Amino acid sequence: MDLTWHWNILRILFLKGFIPTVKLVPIAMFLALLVGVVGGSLRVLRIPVLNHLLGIYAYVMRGVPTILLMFICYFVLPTGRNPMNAAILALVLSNGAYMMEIVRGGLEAIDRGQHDAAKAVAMNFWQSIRYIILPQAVLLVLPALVGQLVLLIKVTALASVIGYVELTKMALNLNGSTMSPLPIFFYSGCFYFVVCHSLKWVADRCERITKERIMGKAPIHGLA
Amino acid sequence: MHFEFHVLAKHYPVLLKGLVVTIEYTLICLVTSLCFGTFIAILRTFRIRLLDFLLIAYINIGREVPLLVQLYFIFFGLPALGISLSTPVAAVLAITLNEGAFIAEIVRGGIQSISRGQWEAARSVSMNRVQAVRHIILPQALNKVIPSLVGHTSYILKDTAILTVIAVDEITSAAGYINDMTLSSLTAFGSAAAMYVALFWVLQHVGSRVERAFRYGEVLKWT
Repeated sequence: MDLTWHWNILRILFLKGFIPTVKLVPIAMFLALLVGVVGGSLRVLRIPVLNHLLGIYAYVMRGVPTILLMFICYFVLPTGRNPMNAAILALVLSNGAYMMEIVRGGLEAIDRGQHDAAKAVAMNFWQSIRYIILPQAVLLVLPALVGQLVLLIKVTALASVIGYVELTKMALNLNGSTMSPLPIFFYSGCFYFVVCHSLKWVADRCERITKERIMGKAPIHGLA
Repeated sequence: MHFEFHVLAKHYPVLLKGLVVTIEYTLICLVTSLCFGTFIAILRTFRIRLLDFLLIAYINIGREVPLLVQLYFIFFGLPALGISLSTPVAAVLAITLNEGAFIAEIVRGGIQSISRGQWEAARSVSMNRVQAVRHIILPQALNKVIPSLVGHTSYILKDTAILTVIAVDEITSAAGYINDMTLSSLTAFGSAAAMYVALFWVLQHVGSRVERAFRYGEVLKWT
């Protein structure tokens, strides 16, 4: 167990573990965001039956553990027994539901007066969405969405249970062949930590910028 | 693929046993992580520099490394150090360390929201720091964060599903077993999902009851 050994472990974990993990994230994030934005906007409109269906979808996704969702996507849903597709589908289903609620919360947090004000200056519906509502809503939901991205990255670890070889599965395989769990799981934890911690830093910054934009730059006690 | 009731009729005892195990782990981990998280939050009020540094490091690691990796680290790693753990102990330890970090942050938020005047008032009746935390600050802080803590209990329920990877016989394991035995995936995993949603529903109802009971300062009466 000299330095070369550690270097090799890190290299394998990065190339064969971290890269596949990173491959999952953009696709899953994009699709989940799509589900979230479309679903969230639809929920704000309160279309009778659809609203209930989306509500049930969100409730079920909040109740069912993601690891079970992985199994369901792999064994039950027609993903062709392809671990990557199943993992992405599970990530999109669960995170999409959370993002839907985040987007809905952001849209509903905007005061009705803003709509009325837009109407008062003769904007039509789409203009008021484009120039008045969206800029504020994006600012409001951005921190929560980045936070959700952090959760999504952590949850990709669960893709290992359906045999998608990513960081955690690679660590497990390496542990099986080298029998030295401490450094291996420590290193794989470090990869997750570095990515999530930097993203959390971004989320905190987003939040601060949002607060500055909305409440002005004046130092407000307890918010700075 | 369709839902086969005769499979469920034959194998439901496995799922029921899984249900009991899931409830047990959820309750145990709820108690341990609440206690541990609150303890960490209290330690942070003392503002000892080195201790604070270590606690912040722990909280960040606990929150930003996936529970699965933490579980593997404890389950495989600690025995390599010569600390042998039984499966249930490793399971409860992993969830407690992970959720404790989240709960510590929630409780710390509550403690921070208590005005400085309360600390000073405690000082002025010659309470020391421990007494102030015990009798003045913590009861009010806990009362404030009850909704967030209740919201967090469902995460602990979902965390127990991960224990399937170290062969704890909870609902997800039971579903996997039935799936292996009968190849009737929809029946197995569908029933498991339904059980989790039912448990989630129960937790939410109990949670809102607790929230309502504590709205008028019930914690204050207890202490």
